[in-house]
Amino acid sequence: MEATTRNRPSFANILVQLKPGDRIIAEADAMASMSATVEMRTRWSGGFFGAILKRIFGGESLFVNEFSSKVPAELVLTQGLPGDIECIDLKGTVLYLQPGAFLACEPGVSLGMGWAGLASFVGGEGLFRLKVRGEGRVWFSGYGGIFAKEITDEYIVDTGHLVAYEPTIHIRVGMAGGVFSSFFGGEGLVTKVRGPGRIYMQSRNFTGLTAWMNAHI
Amino acid sequence: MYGPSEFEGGVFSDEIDGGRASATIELSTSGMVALTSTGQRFGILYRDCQLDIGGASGRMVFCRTPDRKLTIFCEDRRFPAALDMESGGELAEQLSSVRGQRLSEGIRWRMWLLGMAIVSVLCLIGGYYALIAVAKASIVAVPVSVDTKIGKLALESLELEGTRVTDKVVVDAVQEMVSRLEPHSELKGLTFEVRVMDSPEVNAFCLPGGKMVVYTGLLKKAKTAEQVAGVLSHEMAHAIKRHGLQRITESLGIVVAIELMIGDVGGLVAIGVELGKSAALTSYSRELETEADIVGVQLLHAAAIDPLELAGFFEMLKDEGDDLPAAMRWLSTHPEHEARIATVRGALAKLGAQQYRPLDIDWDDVQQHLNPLKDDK
Repeated sequence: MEATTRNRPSFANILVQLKPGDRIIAEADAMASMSATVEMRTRWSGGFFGAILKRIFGGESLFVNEFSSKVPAELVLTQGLPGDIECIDLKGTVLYLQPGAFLACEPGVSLGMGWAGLASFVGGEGLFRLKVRGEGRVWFSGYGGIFAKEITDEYIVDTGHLVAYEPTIHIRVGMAGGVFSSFFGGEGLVTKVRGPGRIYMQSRNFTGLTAWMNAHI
Repeated sequence: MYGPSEFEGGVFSDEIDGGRASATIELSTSGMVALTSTGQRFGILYRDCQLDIGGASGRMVFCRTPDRKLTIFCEDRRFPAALDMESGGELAEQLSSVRGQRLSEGIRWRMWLLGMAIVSVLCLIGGYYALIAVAKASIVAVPVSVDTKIGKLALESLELEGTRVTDKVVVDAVQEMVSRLEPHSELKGLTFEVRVMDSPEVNAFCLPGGKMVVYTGLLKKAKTAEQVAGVLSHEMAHAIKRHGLQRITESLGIVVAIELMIGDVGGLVAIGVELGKSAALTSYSRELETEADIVGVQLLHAAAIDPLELAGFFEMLKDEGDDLPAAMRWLSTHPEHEARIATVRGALAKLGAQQYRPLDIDWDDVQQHLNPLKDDK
């Protein structure tokens, strides 16, 4: 299966060339267009209870769609927000995705929920996180550009900018500075990540957008 | 399947394409060996091993070489114990140290979280009361026309008990009481209008803006016109002190507080109608009732009507308390008579001398006109 991410980084979408027998699993509503020969099968995302958990705590859809075709066909997948899409080839490894970041994966990748902890919750990143593992590619999306960073020691990310991270990354929440500068400097709480490992960040913060819109409505 | 000394984990090394790979870790007596999914082998001797604990789960063990060019990591819960055992205690001190370090970090984090939670709760409570206080203060800035609008709409949608009394003697008598009291209202812009309803209910109320309702049950119960004037002064005090708006802010709290602060009183009228109705029919807080008693006494005093008549009315209700019908809502929604009598006397003691004048009402005549009216008792 050949997949190309186009129109990066602002309006990224994935053009998937399906060969007979290829399958790809995508978040509900991710399909933008497809050949008429593509078959779409909708199923619970990780079983009934798993789907409920993902919906409530992971910010994901209850359902995922599985696309396949008996003849060569094409499929375009996209996300709702303007932004980039990143592809990671998992080789038996694990990746944690922040709520709402998952876009698509190959059938060898399993989607599970992992407890993110109170730190993540307080930091506005949710109590649970999506845990993807297995063999195959996984695509995740961000608001704005997505950039990776290798973390060796400690690094600070503003809450809402973290999209994905490797399991070797330790996360905790703290204040950006002192009490005064944290709250009056506009940074509030930040996510402190400790390596080794790689994190993926988005250049825009969706909460920032909603706050801006609220102020102008 | 992994053996007792084999674990699933991974490796960080510049020698691996991409810098990391999943691996199978095997522990021996001298060190650990990691065989990556890419087929590469990496080893660290225990004596060179620098340990750390972290990762997303908070329990991942990292084993690094002193130059930090190679890191082998494992998340398996059995790994630390196996490492301790296979290394023959060589890593025991390091394991204990990093565990202690992470534990104290965890405790610090929990303490920080608890502190933040307490501060957040205190801020929320403080913020709520601050907003309520600001809203109450802002009531002064809300035009009296809002009260009038609320009162008018509330009265229109209220289903009053009994029929409206049109007997001139009765209506004029009540109007005379209101006319004596009205000029002494400290809130300008209020126009008091009273309607008498024929019902055994011993009750009277004043809606925001000054629309008043008096039931014949109350008129029949009172021994003198001044006692009724006393009750009316109390009800008028609710409107003068704008207790209706205060009650709305208490009921709706922050939403109304913000509306008042930003000056949007349009929505306030809509919700005020509903709450104004319920405010008329249910009780105000004890604090507001006491304030209404005190302001009522001041109003009576200023209008040269003896405030002790109001105390006398309470005395009468107290004495007859057990025989009174359950319909006496005015009685049931107000503070204890003893306390109210004390409030009236206390408020009166603070006022200067005054020559009280009786109301120009023939109370016996009013009672005679009330008698032919229907009474369910």
